[in-house]
Amino acid sequence: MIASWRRVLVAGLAAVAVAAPAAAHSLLLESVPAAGATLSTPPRELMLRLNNRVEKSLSRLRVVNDRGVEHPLVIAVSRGSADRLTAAVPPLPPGRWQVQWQVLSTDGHVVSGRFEFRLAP
Amino acid sequence: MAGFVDVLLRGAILVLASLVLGGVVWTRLILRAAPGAAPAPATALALRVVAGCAWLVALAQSATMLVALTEVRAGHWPIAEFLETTFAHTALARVALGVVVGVLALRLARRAAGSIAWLTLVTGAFVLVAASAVLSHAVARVESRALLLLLDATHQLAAAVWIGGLGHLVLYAGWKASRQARSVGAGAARTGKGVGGLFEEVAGSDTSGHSVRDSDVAGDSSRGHAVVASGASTGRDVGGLLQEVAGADGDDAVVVRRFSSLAFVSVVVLVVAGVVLTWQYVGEWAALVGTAYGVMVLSKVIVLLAILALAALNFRAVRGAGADVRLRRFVEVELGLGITVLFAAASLTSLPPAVDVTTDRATVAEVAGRFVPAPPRLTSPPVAELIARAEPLMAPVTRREPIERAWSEYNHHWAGFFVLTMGLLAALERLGVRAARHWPLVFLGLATFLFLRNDPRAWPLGPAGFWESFMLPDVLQHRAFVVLIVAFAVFEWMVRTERLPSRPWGHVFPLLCAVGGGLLLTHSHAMFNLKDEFLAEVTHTPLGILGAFAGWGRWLELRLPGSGRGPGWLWTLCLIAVGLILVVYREA
Repeated sequence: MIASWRRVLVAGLAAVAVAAPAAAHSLLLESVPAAGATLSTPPRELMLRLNNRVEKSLSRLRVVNDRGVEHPLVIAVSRGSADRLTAAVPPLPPGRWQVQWQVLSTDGHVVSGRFEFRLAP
Repeated sequence: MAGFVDVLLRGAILVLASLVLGGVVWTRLILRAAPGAAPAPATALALRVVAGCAWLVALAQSATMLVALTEVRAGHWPIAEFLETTFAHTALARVALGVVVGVLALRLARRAAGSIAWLTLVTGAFVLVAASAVLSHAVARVESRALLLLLDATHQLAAAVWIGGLGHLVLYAGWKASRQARSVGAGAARTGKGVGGLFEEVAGSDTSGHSVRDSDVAGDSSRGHAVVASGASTGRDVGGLLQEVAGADGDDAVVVRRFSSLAFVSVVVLVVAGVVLTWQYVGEWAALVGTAYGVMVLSKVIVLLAILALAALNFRAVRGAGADVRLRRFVEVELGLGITVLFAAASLTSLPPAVDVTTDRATVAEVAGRFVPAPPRLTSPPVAELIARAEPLMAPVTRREPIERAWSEYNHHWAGFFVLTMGLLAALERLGVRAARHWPLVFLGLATFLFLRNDPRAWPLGPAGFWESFMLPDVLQHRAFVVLIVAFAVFEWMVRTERLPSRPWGHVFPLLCAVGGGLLLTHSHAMFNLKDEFLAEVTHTPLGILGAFAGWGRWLELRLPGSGRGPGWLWTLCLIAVGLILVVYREA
């Protein structure tokens, strides 16, 4: 009987082992440049404000254009409040740029996201 | 994939840590294990479980660190930076606490120990659970962090004492029943009481008070008499004597009443802290309905209300309204639903608090619109057209085409017809139509349908290979559901046609239903914005709740034969309701 119970338990646990994934935990509340913005001059700096505190040293930012040109950005770890990421941006040529971000929130969730802005010629 | 593993680990840690703290409180306040006394068998058993769970907490917490570290890895392992984070500090502290609590609990299970050892164990278990707040939303909030940490820790401590205690109560009852059965089997039924098990004793006991009294103890067993006599002859005080009785063998009626009182206090604390936390994280009524976080909170509340309804019945029974084996079975269901709530809580930590979701929030009308019945889709869009228009399976999701919605609705509607058919056949079987007992086989048709159509961009319909598509969490979940459905169909059909005994194989149905319901509560599709994702999944929530209720209804039907028709009709009607909801499912 105990062996049978073990089999039932194993079946139950195996089923538990396929639980579902998490949805986005950290939210991007605002950014400079704003998502969807069209800029006439290249941004010198990128700023993201999230809905919670993040570990800046383990967060990542980069800008990528539609031709696949990619610029990883260095996050200013000691600058700004714990819910903001800022980074200097190298001179960007005109075109559509996508900001890709990934953060480790203080409670240990890793979340990523992206948004776009356009740089007018 | 990492997010899914993280939720799983966090849920497991909540359950295990609850068993640790619940077990420690159980031994000290319920079994009244006293410093300096040799551990009684019941105490030793509980402490061994505490030790095992504490070590598993340490293991699972280590795994959460590994998952996070893997995710933040960018070409190299940033171990030094990682070790400076709040998350790593807290997780490492919990790993160390888990190991220490485990070692200490095992030592106390084996030999008598002084009050310092016990105090360390109790403190360690409390800190282990309270530290979970430092891994929750509370620690990451920008404002009101201290208040939220305090509320979260209080909420989790109360939940752990209650649900962990329920786990130990079930364990204790099972252990007593098996011990009594063994002693009767060996011809050692010298105690003068039957083998009816722990909870039957409650009904026959004196219930005019809930403190340990002479009549509670002396009227119960010859061993009780012996200890009373022994204690009286040595002149020890009555309190210490009764502690020895409870600690040595456990006066079952008193044990149950003590736990009932503790559970009542825990639930009050849990609810008060939970209400304040909900207000902080949700903010307004509209967010309770219009966000995934809010709906998950509502789900927790509904399941909690079901648990409390059972708890209220048990509370009355324990205090003299009369109880029988029902009490034990209800406690099992309470525990099962409690574990579902803990996994839902783990899922909640991965969702953005509703108060933060402002631009992607759905209105009440939009949510209600998803529940308005519409004619089901009976024809499917062509798969070739779907593959041509939809994004590749492994690409990030940035849009959802109308044809994808049509495909999904068609799948849900036909799945609904399968489930509705099964529910109706099960109802016919219940009404005496013997041929209808083969209804579980309809599930095989559902499993085949879902396997073929769930993920049209993956094998066998789409270009993505069978193994390749397993890398996508959505596909993995869908295929896992298919495996669950096949298992359900096979076992339940074999039980109903008497090819397998209902014990234990009949339990596959309730366990899989309960697990499936829990999975649906946390089911998530990767979509391109929170609102679309939420609206597509909002109908999964009642399905998950109905699934869990169906499972535990069947559990009671199996394990409580004298419970009448109620539990049987409960799961049958839940099945029919699931079918109806699926038939009218809509994504727009």
